[in-house]
Amino acid sequence: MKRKSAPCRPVYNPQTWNGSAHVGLNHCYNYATDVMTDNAALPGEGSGKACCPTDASVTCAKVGAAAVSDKLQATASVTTGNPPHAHFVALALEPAGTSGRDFHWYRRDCNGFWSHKVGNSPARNVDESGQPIVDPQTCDRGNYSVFCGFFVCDPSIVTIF
Amino acid sequence: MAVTVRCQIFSGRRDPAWTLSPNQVTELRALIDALTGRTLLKPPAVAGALGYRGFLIHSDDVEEALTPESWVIVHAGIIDRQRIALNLVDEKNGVERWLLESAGSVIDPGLKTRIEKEMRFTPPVLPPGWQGPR
Repeated sequence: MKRKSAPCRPVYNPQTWNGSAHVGLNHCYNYATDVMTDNAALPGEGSGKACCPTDASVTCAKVGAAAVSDKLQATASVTTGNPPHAHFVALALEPAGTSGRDFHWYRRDCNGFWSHKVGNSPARNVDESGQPIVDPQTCDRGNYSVFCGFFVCDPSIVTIF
Repeated sequence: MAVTVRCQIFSGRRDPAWTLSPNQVTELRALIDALTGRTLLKPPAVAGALGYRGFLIHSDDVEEALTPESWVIVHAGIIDRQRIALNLVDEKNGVERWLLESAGSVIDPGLKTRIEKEMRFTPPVLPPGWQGPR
């Protein structure tokens, strides 16, 4: 019997995330991984150790390692189509030395474009210049100028809660 | 009554948040009540850009809330009272600065300096002929 192919996902459907009951409680990591927990999930938290409580601990290595411990997989590049049952996410940071150094995640949607959700703000599919996001490496990321890399996320196996 | 304040600055990390004392609530209410300018503009924070996006004030007790709505956004010289009333203009960012000071040690000095540098005023654009409330 032929296995049914996985539906194209995640679909860019901001109203799911932007309703008053959820918009303030789900941050960029929730949105990028497509796992709504309503507790502003932090990388690593679901697998036992939340990352990055201090400016010095916000590094590509540490945030990335925390995501990997949540069962995201680091990958050097993205393919045209999504991996089976998964999608691509991307990580960026503010420069070292920034007071309150922060990280931010993007996700690639079913339509091939990228979208994101800034903290407790509404999800959106444009960059800091208001342009559609074709590639998070080259889009306007404001002060989040350090691009760390890509990851593969299968929301059905990640440990984010 | 509990009035909590959240400094909206992070995306990945959790924002600094704190609770105001009753005296601070009284002081903040007086600051807001003294504002006379009105605007139809929303603060830029509602668009969700990366970086500093002002303060989010939440009152648990509707009876004693600072404004008709339990959620208030203060950013770029605009006090966003959500759906019920026109928004208030705070040209000198006095409410925003007061909220930053009220954080005390919750916001470390380096981050406080950064926020002070990012504070700005968005001049309100009023409809032609608008005279403001009398």
